[in-house]
Amino acid sequence: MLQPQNYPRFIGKALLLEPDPFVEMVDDDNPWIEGLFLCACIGVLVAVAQLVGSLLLTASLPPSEALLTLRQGTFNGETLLEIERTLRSVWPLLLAYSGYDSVLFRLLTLATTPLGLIGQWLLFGLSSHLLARAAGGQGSLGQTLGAVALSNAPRLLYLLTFIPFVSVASVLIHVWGVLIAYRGLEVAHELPSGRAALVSVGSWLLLLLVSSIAAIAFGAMFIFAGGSL
Amino acid sequence: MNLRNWLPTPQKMSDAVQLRASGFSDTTMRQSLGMVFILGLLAGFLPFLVNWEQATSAGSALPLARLGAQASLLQEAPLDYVSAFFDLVHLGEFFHLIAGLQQPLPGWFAAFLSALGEWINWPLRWLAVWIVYGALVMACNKAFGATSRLQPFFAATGFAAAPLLLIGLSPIPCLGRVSSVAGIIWAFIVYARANEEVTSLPRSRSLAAVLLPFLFILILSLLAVALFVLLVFLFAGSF
Repeated sequence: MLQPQNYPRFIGKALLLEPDPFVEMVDDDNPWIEGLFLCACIGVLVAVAQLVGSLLLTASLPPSEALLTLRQGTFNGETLLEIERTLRSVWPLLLAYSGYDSVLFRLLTLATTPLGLIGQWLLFGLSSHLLARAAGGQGSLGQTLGAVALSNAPRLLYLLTFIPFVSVASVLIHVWGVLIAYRGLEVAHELPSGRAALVSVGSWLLLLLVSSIAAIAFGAMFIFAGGSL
Repeated sequence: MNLRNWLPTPQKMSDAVQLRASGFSDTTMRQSLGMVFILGLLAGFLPFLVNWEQATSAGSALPLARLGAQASLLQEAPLDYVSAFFDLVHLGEFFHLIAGLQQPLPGWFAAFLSALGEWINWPLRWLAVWIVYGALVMACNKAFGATSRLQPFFAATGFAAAPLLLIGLSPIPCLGRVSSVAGIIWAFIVYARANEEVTSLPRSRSLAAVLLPFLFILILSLLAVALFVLLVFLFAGSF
């Protein structure tokens, strides 16, 4: 049965690398459903915070079009003109990434952020499960997914991005997430700490590889589309 | 929510910055997390006030106010390597124009929001260093044979945030730089002492475990810079 009232306690303890929330997740009757709901909740909250942050950022800065118009004539020489042309072509991507003057895109992320988070969680959970079983783990896939879902807890720091100009280092989110996943795998699969560490880092590297391939594919599409998608 | 659960006692902090062994024991990771965040906020308070004042006087968000200040600096003391690539008159005017553009929010409010955002970044950066650098040090500790667990390790190393408070004085001319350097060195010493205390490794190994991640990050950064320069070179060479 879903127990969202316990999520703040779970998240707080998972951030402090305590074993209790993982034990409760693993012992739950449907750990993967708890994990799914937890990821969806975190994704929606983060997306809403980023939308508010995007609105405030856009209102705190001049319109982006004004910046583009002003930049003309600043650069010297053919090379730098080419740099400016490149910058102009990636301008929409920069805006979308920063949240500046891209409120419509941020509205779209209300759906894509939770879905993306769930996708990452499934991939990370599945690879963790396979690696943990290969390393001698005893947990089921549902238990792994439940435990690994808590590794998304540091993403709640993104809630602070509702304040414009706040930036949360993604390296912090990833490293903290891997540490939490390590504790979760240790509990869910009853693995020795060394193996649990290897499994969590290995799964993260696999996720990084898949994300890199996806980013390269997107970049290639962007180039083939002539810089406008 | 009891504050005692989220912060170590002042006596503990005092012991830790004086490198006494008693300072690094009987503290939880929760208390260290709270300490890193609160001290980060405290250290960022003076820079927040300075940033807020700078942005408010420019009537714009902080990054634009800084651009305006950069434009003035650039016109006062033009840099040769910049003028090789940019028309400095245009660049200065460009920066001034950007800084003067109107935003939808009132200037004072945009200034406040941007300075507030910069302030919140202080504890977030400290958290990042504490967790990320700590994970690397812990990996080295394990490689050197330490048997300590993550929680006591993070609980002890969080005390390195206490001397970092000195960085908060950075906006003060001259004294700020000296105190920042002193704070970083002191924090490093506290970190090394905490690591030694919590892992019970011999001093040389413990110190190596603390230094190796620094060297690793340094080499990685140099490689990234070299790669960036190479890419710029190749990009420029293609025209």
